[in-house]
Amino acid sequence: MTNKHLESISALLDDEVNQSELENALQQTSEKADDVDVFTRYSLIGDVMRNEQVLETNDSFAASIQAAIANVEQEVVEENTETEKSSVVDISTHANWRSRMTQKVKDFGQSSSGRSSAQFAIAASVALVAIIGVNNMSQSNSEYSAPVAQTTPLVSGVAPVSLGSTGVQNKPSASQMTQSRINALIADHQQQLKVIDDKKAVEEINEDKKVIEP
Amino acid sequence: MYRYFLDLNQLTSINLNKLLMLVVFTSAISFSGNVSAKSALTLNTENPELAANVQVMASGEKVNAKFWLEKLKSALTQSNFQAGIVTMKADKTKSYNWLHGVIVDEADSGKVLEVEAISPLIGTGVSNLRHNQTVTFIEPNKEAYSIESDSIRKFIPPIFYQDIEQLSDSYQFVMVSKNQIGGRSAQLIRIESIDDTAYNYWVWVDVESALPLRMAFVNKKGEVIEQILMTHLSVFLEPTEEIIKLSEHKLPKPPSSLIATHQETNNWNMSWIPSSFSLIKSDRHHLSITREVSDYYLYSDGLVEFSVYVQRQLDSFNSPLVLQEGAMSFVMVRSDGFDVTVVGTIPAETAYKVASSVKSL
Repeated sequence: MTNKHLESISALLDDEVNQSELENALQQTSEKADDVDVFTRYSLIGDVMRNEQVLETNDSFAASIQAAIANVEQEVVEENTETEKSSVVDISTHANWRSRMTQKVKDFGQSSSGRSSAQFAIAASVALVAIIGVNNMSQSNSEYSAPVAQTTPLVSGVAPVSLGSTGVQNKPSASQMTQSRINALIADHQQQLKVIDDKKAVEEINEDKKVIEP
Repeated sequence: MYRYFLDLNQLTSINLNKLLMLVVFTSAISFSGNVSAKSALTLNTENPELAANVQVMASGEKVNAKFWLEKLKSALTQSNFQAGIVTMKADKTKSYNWLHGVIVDEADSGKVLEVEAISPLIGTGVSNLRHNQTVTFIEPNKEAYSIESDSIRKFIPPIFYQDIEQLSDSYQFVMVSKNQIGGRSAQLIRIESIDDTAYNYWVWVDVESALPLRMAFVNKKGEVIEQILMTHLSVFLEPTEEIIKLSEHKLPKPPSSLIATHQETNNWNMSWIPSSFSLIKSDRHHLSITREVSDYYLYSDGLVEFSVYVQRQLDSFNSPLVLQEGAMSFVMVRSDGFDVTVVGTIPAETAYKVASSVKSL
């Protein structure tokens, strides 16, 4: 298959033809229905590449894939129910469901009935596994969520934390208030130590001594 | 010039991670040390001072703990040295490069300029530079500022730069045995709290240079709860080029009066303060971070300090809240209509007793 006869269309759209060639090309193109399609496509490609038109994709392509997958999905389920006499949900609740599912998909891919649509089957089963996986995760979360509900950090250690974030929070909780006060107090204590006037400290201590002596 | 490196195997209390860090520090320090070291200075040049020590001892002057602490003070203020310092506070380790030198300006009738610099080895924290009584704080992206102080309050207690006799009301000085630290002979001096309300402070003084090789806060049970370790030391007869360079910096002037607007407060009655501590200052001020108002009292026994804050009540917290990091305690207690917090380098029991003794007048 060659695209050589389409070169004239391409050249025409790129404005690289003289008057006689232009007429020739138009004449040729208008005669063949295929070439009209090509003309439309080429001009669309050109427009998109020049940013003159937003590419409008036809969603029938996606829809056809969805339809294909939907069919295959059912095939997989049927296959399982036939051989194992168990539903997908049963498989998913089984401890080794992941490995068993993988095995199922492999078997299906190698079987004569599945070979034709093996690619779709694998894609579909991945989607299926993902869905089952998500379901499983959310289930186990809801079962064990109660003890993990402790979201506020316990006060431990006295490391000064970044203080930029405290202003952003709308309503600091009681423990956050406590934590920020702790940080503020420790920072202030260290600041106060910085500015102790050594001489004043000495005098104070000496005065204190005098008081004690009599 | 002489130098040494710690025998790392001796530091049995330090876990493997810290050991590794130390190795990194030591190698980093030795690199910088090599750059500034003057090979012309030899061990022999130190001998006059050593000989003087021996004479002092021979002449019958009492070689006691105070003798060593006074030697420590003159070493801290009069010698030229460069050292690596590692501070270990709870599970936090910090490392510093420490430089000190004394420059005598012959042209200016022998005027003495003491130069001291402490900078963190890792990261870009606060660096300090001291010229005599001016201590400058240098932070990245901030304007440098100065305050007036005898010492950089980083890891050496300020009292070591002053008359140690001021401590004699609260502490007793005990001279203990000599130890080996990093292959050097070190004299252990224990500064022990008389009434056990504060921690004991142990300092290992290098027999040759009289500089502190190791310092530690020790609790009543004799456990080391916070310590400062010298990882490397180079002592020079003359100020090094680095010291001379540091002496040429123009430092910002300290403000004449630091905070004049503070009003004094006497709204509260502390019914129990350890007898060794005395009030340094009291005022009412806003905390710089939360802008909360607080009545504030600062107490010191000369070696360590603690702060007392009286504030409005928080919505809720579990009273008493007691936190501890290394030798620092933090105790917050709910009292009748207000919260009292005590922060400082004192045992948590002492801090709690102080906090619960605060009553409104």
